[in-house]
Amino acid sequence: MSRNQIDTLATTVSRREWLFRSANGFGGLALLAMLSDAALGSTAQSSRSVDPLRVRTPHHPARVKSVIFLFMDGGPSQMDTFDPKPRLTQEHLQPISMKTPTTVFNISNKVLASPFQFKQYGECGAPVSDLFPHVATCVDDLTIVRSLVADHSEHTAANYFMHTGSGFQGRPSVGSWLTYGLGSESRNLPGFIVLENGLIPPGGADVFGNGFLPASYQGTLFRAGKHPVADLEPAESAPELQRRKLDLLGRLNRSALDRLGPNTQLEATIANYELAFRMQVEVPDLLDLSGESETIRKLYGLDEDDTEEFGRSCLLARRMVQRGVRFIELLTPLRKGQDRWDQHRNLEEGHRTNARATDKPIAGLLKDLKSLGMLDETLVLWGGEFGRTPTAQIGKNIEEVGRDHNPHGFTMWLAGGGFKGGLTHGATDEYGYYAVENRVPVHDLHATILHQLGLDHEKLTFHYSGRDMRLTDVHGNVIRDLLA
Amino acid sequence: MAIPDSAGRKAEEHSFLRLLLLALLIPTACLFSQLHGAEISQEETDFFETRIRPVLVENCYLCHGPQAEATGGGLRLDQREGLLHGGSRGPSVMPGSPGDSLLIEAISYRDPGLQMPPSGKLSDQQIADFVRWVQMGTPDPRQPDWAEEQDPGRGIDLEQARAFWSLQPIKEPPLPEVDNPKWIRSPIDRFVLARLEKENLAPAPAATKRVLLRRVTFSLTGLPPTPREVEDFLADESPQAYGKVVERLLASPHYGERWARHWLDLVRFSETSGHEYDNSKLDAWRYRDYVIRAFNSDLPYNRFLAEQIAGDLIPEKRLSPEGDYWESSIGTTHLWFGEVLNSPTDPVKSRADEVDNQLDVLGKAFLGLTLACARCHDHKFDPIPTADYYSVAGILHSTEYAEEVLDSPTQIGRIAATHAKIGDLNSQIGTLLQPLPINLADRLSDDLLAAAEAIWARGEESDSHASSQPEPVRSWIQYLEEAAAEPDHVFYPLTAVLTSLREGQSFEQALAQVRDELTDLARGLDPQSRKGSSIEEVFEDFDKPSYAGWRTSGQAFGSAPRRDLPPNQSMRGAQVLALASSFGDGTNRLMGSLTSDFFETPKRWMHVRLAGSNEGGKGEEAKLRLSLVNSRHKSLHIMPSGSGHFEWQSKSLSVDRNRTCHLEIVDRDPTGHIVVDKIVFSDLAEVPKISSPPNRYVVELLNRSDLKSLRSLTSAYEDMLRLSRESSTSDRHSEWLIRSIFPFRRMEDAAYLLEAGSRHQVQLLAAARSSAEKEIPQSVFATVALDHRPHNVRIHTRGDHKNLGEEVPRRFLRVLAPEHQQSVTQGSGRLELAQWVISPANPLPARVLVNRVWKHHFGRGIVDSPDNFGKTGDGPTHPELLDYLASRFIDSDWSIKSIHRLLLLSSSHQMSNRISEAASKFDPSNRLLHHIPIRRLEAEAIRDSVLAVSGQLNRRLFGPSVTPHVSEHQQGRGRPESGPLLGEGRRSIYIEVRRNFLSPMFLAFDYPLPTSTLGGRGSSTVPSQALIMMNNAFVREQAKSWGIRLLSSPEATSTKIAGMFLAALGRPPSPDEVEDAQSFLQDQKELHLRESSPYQAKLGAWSDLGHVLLNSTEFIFVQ
Repeated sequence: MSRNQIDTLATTVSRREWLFRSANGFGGLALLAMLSDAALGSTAQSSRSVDPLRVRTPHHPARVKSVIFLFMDGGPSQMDTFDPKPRLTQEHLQPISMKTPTTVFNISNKVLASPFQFKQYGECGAPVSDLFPHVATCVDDLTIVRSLVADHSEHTAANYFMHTGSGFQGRPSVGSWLTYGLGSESRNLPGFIVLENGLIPPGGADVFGNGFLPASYQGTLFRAGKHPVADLEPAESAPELQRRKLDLLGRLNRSALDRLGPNTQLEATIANYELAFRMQVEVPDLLDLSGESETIRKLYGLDEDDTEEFGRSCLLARRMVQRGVRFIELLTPLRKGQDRWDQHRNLEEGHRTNARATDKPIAGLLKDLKSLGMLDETLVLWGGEFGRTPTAQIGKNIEEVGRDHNPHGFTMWLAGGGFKGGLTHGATDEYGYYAVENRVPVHDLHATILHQLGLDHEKLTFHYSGRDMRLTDVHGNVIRDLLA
Repeated sequence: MAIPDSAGRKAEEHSFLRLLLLALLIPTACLFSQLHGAEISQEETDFFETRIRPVLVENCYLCHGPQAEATGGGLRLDQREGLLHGGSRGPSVMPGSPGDSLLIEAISYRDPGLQMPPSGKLSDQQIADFVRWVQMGTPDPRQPDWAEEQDPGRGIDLEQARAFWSLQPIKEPPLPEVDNPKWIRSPIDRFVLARLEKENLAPAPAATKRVLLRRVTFSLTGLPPTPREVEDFLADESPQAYGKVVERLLASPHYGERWARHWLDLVRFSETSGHEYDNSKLDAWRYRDYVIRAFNSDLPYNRFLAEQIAGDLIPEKRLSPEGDYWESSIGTTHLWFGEVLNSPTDPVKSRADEVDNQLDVLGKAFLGLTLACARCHDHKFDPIPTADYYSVAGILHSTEYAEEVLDSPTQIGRIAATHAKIGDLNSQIGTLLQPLPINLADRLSDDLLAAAEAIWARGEESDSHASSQPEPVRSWIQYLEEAAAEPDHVFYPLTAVLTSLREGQSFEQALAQVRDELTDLARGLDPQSRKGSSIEEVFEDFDKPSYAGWRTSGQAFGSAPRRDLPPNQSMRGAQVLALASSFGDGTNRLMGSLTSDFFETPKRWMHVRLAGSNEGGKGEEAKLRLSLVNSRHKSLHIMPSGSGHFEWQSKSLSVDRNRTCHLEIVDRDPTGHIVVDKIVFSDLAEVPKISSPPNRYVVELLNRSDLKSLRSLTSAYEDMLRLSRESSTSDRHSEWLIRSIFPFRRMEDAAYLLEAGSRHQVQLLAAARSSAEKEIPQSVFATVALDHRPHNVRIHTRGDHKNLGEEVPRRFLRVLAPEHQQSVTQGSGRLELAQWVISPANPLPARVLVNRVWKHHFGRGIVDSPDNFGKTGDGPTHPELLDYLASRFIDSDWSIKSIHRLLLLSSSHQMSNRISEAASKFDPSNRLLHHIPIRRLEAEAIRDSVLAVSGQLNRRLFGPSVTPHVSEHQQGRGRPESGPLLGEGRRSIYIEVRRNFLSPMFLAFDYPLPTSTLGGRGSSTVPSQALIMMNNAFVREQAKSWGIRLLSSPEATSTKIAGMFLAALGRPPSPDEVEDAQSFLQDQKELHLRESSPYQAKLGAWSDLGHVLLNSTEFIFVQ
């Protein structure tokens, strides 16, 4: 009946098959009841909606299985990272000689030189600033896009836009669209996981929300620390206590099912308890890094204070990819004294601190994925919600100088997933204010990512509010130049 | 994306013809080729799109867009024809020849008489790009679309569009004949049964009484039936038993709570603004209560709808149940539930976005129309031209939000009467205190001298010297010290002289210095030769006979600025002429606000001199504050410090600078007040040194020739006071002087100087005053709509607020409007909009509403897209039934309760969930309604049921929301202090809806995001649901509360078990289940005993059983 993905892309997995897939949890009695002949009499229509996360056939063969989004919350500066602008040094603190847009703080129009040194790396010779000595060694695997264009100058709207293609609250995040379109290959984990280290971007949990898509596609937040997933740990002091409760529950549910007749929603709810139970087992196993070798731990920087936090997240991301999680988002780690990458003040210190915390772990992740042969099927995406102005935002004194928000031209990079390594795409003007060459609107980035996962961004729709909604709204082009 | 319908195709042909015609009129072949985007290479298109178009849009479209005639010399640069055709100066480009192109001439800034854009020269790179573009032959891929802009809505044939089923007038159909009349209990059954019989299907057998009771109790109240209610219903064997239950539930106050929540889904109810800081929306909860009351009192729905749009404007406004405030105005609060940006870089756009969201809700919730689709282009499917969108948008653009006091006339009268009494008492006290200043003045010279000498003697040491002095010298010392900071203070000369003396100057030098300083100031000159940036701009000093430029609400601030101060108000620092004071005639009880007109913030800093009490609140939640409001966002707040005297406070305006803002001075505190003296803008962070000229008597005083010593100066003060008092013409300067020469904080503080009799009088009057104060009722504030600057808006071409098309009148959607509708010329037009919406000529509101009610009772609507009755929505499965219900609805004076009765007392609603094989084959999705499907409860109903079953439900109605419980997993900006885990046991509708911190439990169970209308929630299955029910502390706590209750009950175990099943599932357990539960209890108890006391083990076992029942699928499903 509904025009949405659940139905249109249905590769009808039989209910029995699906139930077998989830047959190793608790409450075997409940399962037996569901498999009884009486319970199998439900209609074809209803069996479709039983497992919203089952794997679906994409629109075209997929190049990529999983995506890791390294979201650099706050907006790292393009001309201090991957897009050097010598003119800034020449005209340091001179008034900028171009028309500039309204910015959030609208304070200064003086050019600000980058405090960082650039060097060329790799065979491709891409310049990288001294913020990222480790990532710089991977440039031949990166597709550096210097011409991203977004629509919003304010964090919240920009975060929504980067994740959902709309600056307003309430739209599904990319990860939700992907799990909606493709399902999840992970049997025991959610398809869309966000790893945070104490810092949720402005806009809150809705940045990873399912919007108008069913709740099944919402991002699950994993926190650093003792209790990674809300309500995951059993409260019972002994496993046997929970076990018996679940057994009784299984019997009650069976009798309910007997009395109420076959009903897919009831059955799905019962099976849902099985998945939840398996998550209780799977998540601790996922988080237990004791099996990782010393080499690997060092590669990710787990042995150093600065990099331990983000290194752990990067290593977990790799482990999640191995377990079939579809979309993993890593958030900027919380650094004392720094407001994410949002350096309106203290650009140099702030960017150094954030880079130090993330550079080595990211390089570790890229190298590890590559050596495991996983980089081809995994897309790694790095970037913030916007970039920064080439002009200075001067506070009380010049030492505290920073940069304002700039969505008109900024840099992101992609690695793996069938993107061309060693490519630099697009350009900003001489100051780095506007993207002027091969502009890449965020919608195009989204379209290209979906494409690599086998999805046509114009066909991946959900009927809502009288329209077939898309991640790319009415925009978006696949940028084939970026693809290998 | 869309297959164009016939209207769309027609439109395309139409504009194609236009294009052909245009081409023929331009004979040059070269120009003709320019019209064809197809002949441009990809490279040229890219060049245009990246280098040229953005610059044109950013710099040129505003003047050279569709309104070019008015502002841009007729030249249009938003279309390639315009560029070539040119404006009043002729063609703007000669393709291939930059040297001959006016456009290049203009942007090069060579000719001082022709420099474009006027806001500043483009960058060299941009100019070079344009030159190259002209050299390339001005390749321009823009489609010729101005024909569309000139004739908005051209392709829509309204007459034809009205033939669509949902726009047809409601016609009451005849009742269908059926084969099985025995089944018929309600007229609606005929429609349902006739349809089933047509397909040879039979309705499902009737549900059992238990099932029915649980179903209807959840349906109407969102709560499970209590075991007692189950027993009563089972025991009542009369044919009216079910009808009685329905009536009981409709009369329950919980009915309104349940159905209000359905409504709140439609209006994106939210109590915060989202975005970066998730600021609170004041008074949103009043709207929630308003809706609950409306449902409980069965307010006619047409009336309710009118109030949503114009509750403040409609004739016969509605009062609250107690008659103390205007209830109907609160209906408009929903307009302001949208997101609010913190620091929009483009406030015009964010306003347009806000209106769009308001229209989206208005369209979908009230009319079932996806109106917002017409923002950028004519609606692709429904008969809504963009012009009509902007006609209605004009009405909302003419509407502002306002934090208003809603006191009713009776309430106003009550407040005013008591207020008058207090004023009278205060003037009596004032009369008694009148000798005080005279007494003080007569000894002024001596007291002042004593104080001055004490200060001089102290030098830079501590100020403990004051306390060693007798009154009134002690008060004078404190007073003089405060005066030192204020050049317009009457005693500033004395303190300035003292300072200079301490620095070693002679009296003559000291006097000359302060005389020069004040003389300069009196002339308006700053002694420190001020720079341009340091010039202050006095925005408001309230030195005027009325609050011109401000709107008052409530009675606290009176009708005009005050000059006199009541005897119980602080005098300290009140060397001022005029004040905006919420202290009424000397009472803290009054509430109200002052709202300024809109203005553009002129400078970097705002400085406010104010006094008042401090109630400790922060941000917009402070009850006493002055706020700067920028694009609906209260961005800056200044709260009185509570020190009791006037102080300057300064705020930086970086984000708000050059923005259209307004100020609010608010007193929502029944026990406090705020007094504002001056509001000044400047470019400096320092407090303005001078904001009013020195008193002329003081300047005169300094020019006296006999001032030789401190003593002569203090004598001169005494003379001056005497003179001014005796002067026959009392002017403002003398008034001020008399009031200023008074060292006490409040007039009443000096009452001890009176003789005993008067003193006693003052005490008695003050006591009478405080008992009168207690009689003043509190005012009610709400955030409502207000007509503001009514104006038409222009079409935003392609939704772009920078690309304005023609102006459209304020009126209703033409397809729904009565013939020959009049456009709005006065006021915003909300009243007219309300009338149009509920007009009998508009069939949509009644159809949409009865369908919503139907959907909630039957699981799916007669129209399955409850918010979309347009072409992209679903058609009705039972069109006649829908119209029958709509007719009955209107006949019953739009009574929603009457629709409930009609539906609930039917056989259709009393079917079971049994599906026959034939039905499941023929109609598996139950479109024809052959059974009542099993449904999962909504998030709130699940939480409320948990509370009800555990015995923790607090059934209190109404009031401010309970702060949500926020776990460690909910982080981010704007995170509130966590509320209690149990939410005080209140029903979920009373838990505050904080946009960025919605309850994870609610979200797991498909709670809607408050972004737009949502008439149908999902019912998905996610592991977090199971995790929450198994492990979440709230559920576990409830299981434990239940366990404690069970443990303390004297009943037998089996009786307790039966009671638990009845409470949670609405049915008794089977004998097997009792046995199973008993052995479970035994086993759990033994397990618990390994690590707990016997009591804890027993409690653990009962809690575990309760927990299992709360987790059972039956608990969260209704049949």
